[in-house]
Formats: sequence, C-alpha cells, structure tokens
Amino acid sequence: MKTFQGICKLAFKGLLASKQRTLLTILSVSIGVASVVTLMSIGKGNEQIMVSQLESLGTNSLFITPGAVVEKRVRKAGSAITLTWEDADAIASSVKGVDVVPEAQASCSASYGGENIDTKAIGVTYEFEWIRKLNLKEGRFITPGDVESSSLVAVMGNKVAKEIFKGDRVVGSQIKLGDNYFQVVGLLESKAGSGMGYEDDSVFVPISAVVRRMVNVRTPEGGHSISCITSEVKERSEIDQKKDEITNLLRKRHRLRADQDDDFFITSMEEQIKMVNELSSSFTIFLSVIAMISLSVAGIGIMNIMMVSVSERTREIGICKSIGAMKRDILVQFALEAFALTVGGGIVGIVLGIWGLPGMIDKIVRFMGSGGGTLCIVSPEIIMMSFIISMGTGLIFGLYPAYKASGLNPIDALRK
Amino acid sequence: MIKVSGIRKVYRMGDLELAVLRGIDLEMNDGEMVAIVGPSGSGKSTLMNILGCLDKVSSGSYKLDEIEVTRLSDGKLARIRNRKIGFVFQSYNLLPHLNTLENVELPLVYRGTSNRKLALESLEKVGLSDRAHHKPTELSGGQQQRASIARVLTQSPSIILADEPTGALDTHSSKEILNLLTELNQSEGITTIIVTHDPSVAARTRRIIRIEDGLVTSDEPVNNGQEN
Repeated sequence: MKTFQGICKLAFKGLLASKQRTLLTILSVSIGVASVVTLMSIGKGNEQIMVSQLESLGTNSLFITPGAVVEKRVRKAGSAITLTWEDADAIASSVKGVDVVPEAQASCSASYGGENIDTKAIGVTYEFEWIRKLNLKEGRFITPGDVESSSLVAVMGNKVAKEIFKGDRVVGSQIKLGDNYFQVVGLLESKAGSGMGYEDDSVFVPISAVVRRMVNVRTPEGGHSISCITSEVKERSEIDQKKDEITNLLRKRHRLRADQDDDFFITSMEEQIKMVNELSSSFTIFLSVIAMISLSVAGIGIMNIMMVSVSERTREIGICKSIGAMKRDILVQFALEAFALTVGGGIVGIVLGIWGLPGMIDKIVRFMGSGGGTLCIVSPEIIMMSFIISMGTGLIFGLYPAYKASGLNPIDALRK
Repeated sequence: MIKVSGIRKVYRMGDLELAVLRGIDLEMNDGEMVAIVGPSGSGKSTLMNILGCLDKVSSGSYKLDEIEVTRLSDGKLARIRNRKIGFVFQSYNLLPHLNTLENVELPLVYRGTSNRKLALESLEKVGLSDRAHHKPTELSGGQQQRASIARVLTQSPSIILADEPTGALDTHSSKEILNLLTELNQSEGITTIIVTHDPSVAARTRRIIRIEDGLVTSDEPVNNGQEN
C-alpha cells in the first residue's frame, strides 16, 4: 500500500513534469468525452421531444384514417373516399367510452388585406380543443352551435396568424379562405416545442363549413368524406377492445365482406410512440457510434502521447529499475498516469458536455428557428456511461505503453 | 561475499558472436574496496552490470551472499538491486523531476517503506541537507554525485558499485567523492567496487583487478604506502 502511495506521487510528478503535454492530452480526451455526452444527450432529447409531441396529442387516442386507393391490387398515392363524417357520428353514438373528433382538411389560400398565403383549413368539432390540448390566446374556439349551423368562423393558428395579419388585430377580423369569408373568433397560443407544429400553421373552422362549403366530396352512399377521425378512449385498458369495436362498426357501415380488407386504418398512439421510440433509439445509436469514434481518436492520442512519454523516459525507467523498481511498479506508474489523464479529461469533458456544448447547440438551433425547447437532455446514466467509457479508454490505450515501459531490460533502458 | 566463476557474456549480431567476457573468476569478501580497471572495451562495465544484477550472463555462475543470482527471476533481481546493491553512476542518474530528497527516498518507495527521515539523515551524512528541496539540475556535478551516494545510503546495501564515479567531476569534487566512498567503506563496512580507468582513483582502493579482452589479467593488492 505504501509503495502504491509512493508510486501515485511519482505518477503525479511525472505528469507535472510535462505540463504542456498533460494539458493537451486532457484537452483531447475532454473533447472526446464532451462529444459523447453531447451527442447522447441530443439523441435522448430528440427522443423525448418526439414522444412528448405525440403524447400531447393524447396517449389514449386512436387515429382512424381512410384506406389507400387500390386499383387492380396496386396501391396508389392519396386516400380513398371511404371515411365519412357520418362514420364519426356512428362511432360516437354506438361505441361507449370514447370521444370522437372528426377532421376534414382543405388546402386553400388564405387572404387578408393584400396578403395571400397557402394554408390548411381544418374542419373540426368543439371536442378538438381539449382532446388536442389547445390553448387559446384570445377569443373562443369552435362551438357546437358553429358546427350545427355551419358558421363561417375561424380560429387561427399562431404562426399563420402572425404571417397574415402582421400585427393587425386578429380576433374580429375577416379572412378569406378559398371562396368564403370567415369571421376570426379565436387565436391559439403557439405550440412550438411541444406540439407537432401543424396547429400553428393551420386555420380551424367548423367541420360542417369544410364539408359543405369547401370540399364537398361524397361517397357513393352520400356520406361526407373526411380526412381523419380521432377517438379518445376514456379507459386506457380498453384501447384494444375499442379498436376492435370501431373496426367492426366501420366494416359493417362500409358493407365489407369477410374476405375484403379494411378500407381504413386504425392506429393507436401507443403504436405510434413505439414506432417513434424505435426510430429515435436507432438515431441515438447512430450518434453514439459517432461519439465512440471521436473518443477512440482521443484514446489513440493518449496512446501516442504515452508512447512518446515512454521512449522519452526510457532512461528514467532504467534508473528506477537500477534502484529496485519492479516491473509491476513501472506498469502501475505509467498506467496511473494514463488513467489520471483520462479521468481528468473525462471530468472536464463531462462539464463541457453538460454546460458548454448543449447550450451552444440549443442557441444555434433556436437561431435557425427550428422549434424551441430543450434539445439536449443530460441524464445521470449518460454521465456515468461517458465517465466509465473515458476511464476504459484510458486503461485500454494507456496500458500498452505502460506494459512496454515495464518490460524494458534495465541495462538497455539505462544506456538510452 | 561475491563469488563469480567462469562468467561469459556473448553478444550476437547476426552470424557474428562478440564475446565481451570470456570466463571471469573472481572472489570478493565483505567490506573489501576494489577497483576494476582496464582499457575501454575490455568488458569492465559489462562485468559491473552483471555484478549489479542489471545484466545477465551468457554462462557461468554468480553467487551473491551464497545465492545463485543467475537463476533468479526479474522480480527477485529487482529486489536484490533494491536491498543489496547501490549504484553510483558517472552521470549520477537522478530523476530530473524529483527534488534531491525525493530522489534519495526513491529506493524506499519501491521497497514500500518510505521514510523521509531516513532520507534526510542520508543527505546529512553526505553534507547535502541544505539542498534537500532543490532539483538535481540546480546542483553542481559534485553535489549531484553526493546526492546519488545519499540515495545508496538509504538503501543500506551490502555492495556499492561505482562506475566511473568521478569521470565527470573536477579534481576537487573527485577527491570529495572518493573520500566519501572510502569513509563509507570503512565506517559501514560496505563492499565497494569502483570501475575506473583513472590510476589515481584505483590507487585509493585496496585491491586492483585488471581486465583486458574479457579476461582478468591481474589481481593485486594495493601497497598502502602508495596512498597519498
């Protein structure tokens, strides 16, 4: 033990003896570790953002969309006109324990004053507001009465409102969507950072206004075609059961024979989150691989420096051996030096990775204007892992030079 | 007690064999003070390295205090160097980034019995206690050599091997170092072997062994009357 203490001191003195080299090595390791921390945090942050965006849509949601157009067994682009507003009403009335929001989208131009921009009018019912957790900044949302009477009223998404009204009063103004004039009754708060962003770019109107006045597309049975139905299941445990019930109901309504495929899709939020998780974890792995590469470059840097150090200090090693240093003592001393370099670099790198780089990246991302919120999430596991990895690098890349140093023949070492 | 018989040291360079030591037989009793002399290339330094367990023999036997050293493992040899053998080199061989005191204490660090007080005492014995916290580069040649002798003292070895200990020193410092070595030999009874090509240094010892072409050519006691 006492020998070990003494050798620790020797290793420390050895590092101090060449301060510049020590600092440069620590710098290279710390940059490697910092990039590991940063990249893994970005991966993690990215995952979190995607999941929270999905979750903000409601974790108990089922999304029903029309099937693809199939002609002669070949799937074509675009959606079939199979899903109707009447389907939504049927689900609402015969499937218990779900809230139903139909959505009909219409791409159109919005004009106000001299401004004219392309946007999306989304026809919804009043439930949309709380199922999608929208917050109003001003005015009100669509009411049941608006839907009933197909009122030409609009609730503006935050970003599209900014673009078209340019600081003018929003609520109370009139806006032309397609061929109709709509009264603006509400303005939403920005969802950037937590939402998918599409709420910011859209104008919400009563669904009846869309299907009757804007895109009047009918199914052969006379139903009003819509783009999506969101069903919010009240009990989480019933999601699968409700999915089956809705499937059966829709198959019956669409008069599908047993041998025919569904002409609609139902996906649950859970499935979507799972998919996103899979996607983002492969993204995280990709980032980690890049980080590993940068760290192994740092590791080779350490090896290089320790090798130089060994050959520079061959004579010293000879001297130590001549006064009785064992192979083990030399090995421990050089391994300790490499270890100290990597642990030092690891600590600096983690500090840099937590407080330096993510902040910088956040600023750059914000500056470029794509979303907001925290992009990097540094978790204790990431810190632990990068610390262990940096120590591992030190040991792996430091041991070989140390081993080489310890194996020198004393007399050969002394002659250098 | 050193007993060497039939030591050969052969270097191979491709097909060429170069015999540096060609069968050396020697005996040295405890407490002797011996000079090994000879022209350069005679093999005297190689012999010293072998006696100091720094180098290995090609064949032959070397018994140090009844232990057959030639068969020992590297670890055991390191232990012998640490406890039984003290080196004094021409180039002092102090570690540049340690101060004098730390250099003197170093053998004890490897022994696992670090002892600052003992190191300070050794420095005092060689008259260098006021330089304890100086780096070797801040010392004169003579002072550095005294520091390396202090390092040997902390080891309290049974043998001191000095390879041209005064080779890099001026006359005054050389005299000091030789006086110190003689004193240690007499007061502590440490066997002292000095390798030198300087007849005046050899004359300070009590026995001169001459080596030429890897063989002992003469081995004679020094007439004490010659000492000045």
